[in-house]
Amino acid sequence: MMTDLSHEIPYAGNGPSQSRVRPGPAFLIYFHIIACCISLVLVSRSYEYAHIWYDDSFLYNAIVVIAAFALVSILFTIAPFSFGYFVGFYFYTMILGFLWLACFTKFEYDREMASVSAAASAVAFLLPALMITAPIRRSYTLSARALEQLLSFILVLGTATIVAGAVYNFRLVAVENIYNFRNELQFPTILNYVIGIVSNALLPFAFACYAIRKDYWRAAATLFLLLLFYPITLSKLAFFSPIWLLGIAVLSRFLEERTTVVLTLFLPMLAGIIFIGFGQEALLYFGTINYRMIAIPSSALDHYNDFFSRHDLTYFCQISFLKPFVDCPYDEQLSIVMGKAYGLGNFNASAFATEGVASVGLLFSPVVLFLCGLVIAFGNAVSAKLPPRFILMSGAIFPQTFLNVPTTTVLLTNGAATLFLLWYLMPRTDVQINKTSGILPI
Amino acid sequence: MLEQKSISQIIRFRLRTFLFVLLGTLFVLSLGVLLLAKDFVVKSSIEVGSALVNDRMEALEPPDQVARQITGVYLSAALLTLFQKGVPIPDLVVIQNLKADPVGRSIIITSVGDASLEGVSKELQHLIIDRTIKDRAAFVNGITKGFDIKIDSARRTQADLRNQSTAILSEIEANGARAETIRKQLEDYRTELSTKFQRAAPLKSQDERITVEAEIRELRDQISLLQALAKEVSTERSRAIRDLAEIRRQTEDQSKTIASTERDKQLLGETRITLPPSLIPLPLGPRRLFFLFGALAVSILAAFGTVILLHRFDK
Repeated sequence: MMTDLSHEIPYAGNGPSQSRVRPGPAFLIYFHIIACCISLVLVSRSYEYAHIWYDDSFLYNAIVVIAAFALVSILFTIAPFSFGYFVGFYFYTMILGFLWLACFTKFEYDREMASVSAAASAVAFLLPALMITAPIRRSYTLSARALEQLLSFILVLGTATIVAGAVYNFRLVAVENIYNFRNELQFPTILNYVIGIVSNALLPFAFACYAIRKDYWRAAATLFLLLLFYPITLSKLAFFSPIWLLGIAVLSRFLEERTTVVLTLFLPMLAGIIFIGFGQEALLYFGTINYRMIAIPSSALDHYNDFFSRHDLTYFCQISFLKPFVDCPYDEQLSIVMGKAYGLGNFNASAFATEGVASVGLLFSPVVLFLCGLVIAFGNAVSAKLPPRFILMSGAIFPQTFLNVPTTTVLLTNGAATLFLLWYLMPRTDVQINKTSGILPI
Repeated sequence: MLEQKSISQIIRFRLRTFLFVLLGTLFVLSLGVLLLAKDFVVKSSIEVGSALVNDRMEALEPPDQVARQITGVYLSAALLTLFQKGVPIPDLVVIQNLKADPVGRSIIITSVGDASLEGVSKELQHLIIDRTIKDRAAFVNGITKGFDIKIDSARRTQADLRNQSTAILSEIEANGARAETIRKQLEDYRTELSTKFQRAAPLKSQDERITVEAEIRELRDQISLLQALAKEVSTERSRAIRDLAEIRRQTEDQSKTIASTERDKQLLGETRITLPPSLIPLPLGPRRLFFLFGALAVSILAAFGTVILLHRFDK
């Protein structure tokens, strides 16, 4: 008789002592893979100047490469939900896109080796990120009262940060015009860090707590504070964060978490594919989602592979606190070096490109990415036994951030380490999470 | 891990379904792979017109621009021509995937398709090449004409300079003769002067002495005049020699201009065919083993997905 898996309490990261987890989505992921490929073909038609190419002659080769890498998606069907699942799926999509682009790229580097390295790095990252979900022993937990105070403090800190940031810049600008003013932004270093931590970690954390408790007014207030970061930072991420969090909250209310993770990428990308069929008016949406959000991280890996096939490796010298100890062949930040080399603006990229290809080259990239996977696995461990929906909402901003910024930067500047700390301190019992009733309102 | 056991239990529970979907999908896809037709390549190449610039052969037009023109402009026109000639649309759809890749000064034009489309592919490439060459011929003709005009002009200038140098040579010779005449006259005057000095010395009569002294003074004036004239003639001769040297230099320059322009004209290359459209006699076969591996991967995914889907429906 089949074991009934449907009444399982859906805590993330139950660890080996817990019951089995039912399988995640399979065909949905396959449709997502197909949609990715179609999206990249459409992107190549409008954005060939950004070195995103497509050629019919290599289509069959690309299909075979994608089909082979699609086997890795089985991990996403069998693995339980965790923070690593969330981040890992986004990285998987990025590597899938890179493998597709590598079949058509006109850059002159060893594409076969780069593709094998990228696929190996992806697997090396995913194995710990998906499979290590055991909780760690916690020596301290916030009480319900302390949690209340913390949430209030976050709202106050958020407001104070917005006020401080507004002193330096506050402009109401349309999204398509932000680049006219972005170069003028100058914040003190400490304020940069605070803005990153508050907008990426603290406010989403607060939103998740309020949403889980059904404290909708405070949840809305948190979203409003998040939105106010847009006129200050002029960042697309800041503009879309409230909609993003709201979307994840709604999706996760009705769907299983792993399905939600897949849909957060699949649905916007599919909408872009459909909209672009209606003409160039949809180019703003298509450019923001299909090009900037999905294609650019993969294309960045293509560019970094090309650049570092002909230039010296960095051996992590781009990490600021390592710079005094390592000789650096580059005086400027990597994103600026790449921007000057390819003329496409500052070109920052994920750990696969920066801490992998740029730092240690193709051969040792999987080793570095395995270590990054362990860092994410630590995130799984500290968030174990938290409601999956809570993890989804509180960590919602980070998968996108991980795609575009090195892991060390995400941890320190963007607040991932802070979020890990908050997860660690979060109470796990039903009563302490929900102040109004003892029933976990998932 | 317990999660894996769960999945493996699910697959074991639906093993027949799994194997049925796996083998069925694999069979269908393998059939498709094995039936994939071998393609053939029709290739041609042209060399973009070139000229000597700073002692290096340079293309008259960037080859990558010509390549873009081929795929962007000429291809469409050629396809239209073929359509008007009655070539079926499905064939045009296949052959429209023509590629033009710049390699140095050459452009390699490639069409990949079924062997039955060899004739149409060749005709397409011929149309494109003819149009490419024709559009550039006028430009090269213009350059050639420019060279011819430059050579003619240099030759005329050279002839004028030669005439001038002949005239100056005559002038120098005439000056030489004049200088000789003046020198002889000076010698005569000096001889006469010394004679007069000798005649004057023994004269006792005052009147005779005055007359001889007046003649001596006159002779001295004549000698001074002649010396001044000799100096003028010498200066003129020097100027004429300098002018002659300058004209000879200019004549030499014109000779060099003629030589280099004739060399440039000889080295000017028109856009030309280096390889006419030809069927490469090696089939461009699909890498069947590679594709079969892909078919296996897709089959595994399809079987796995089906089993998981059925399991979820059961729940």
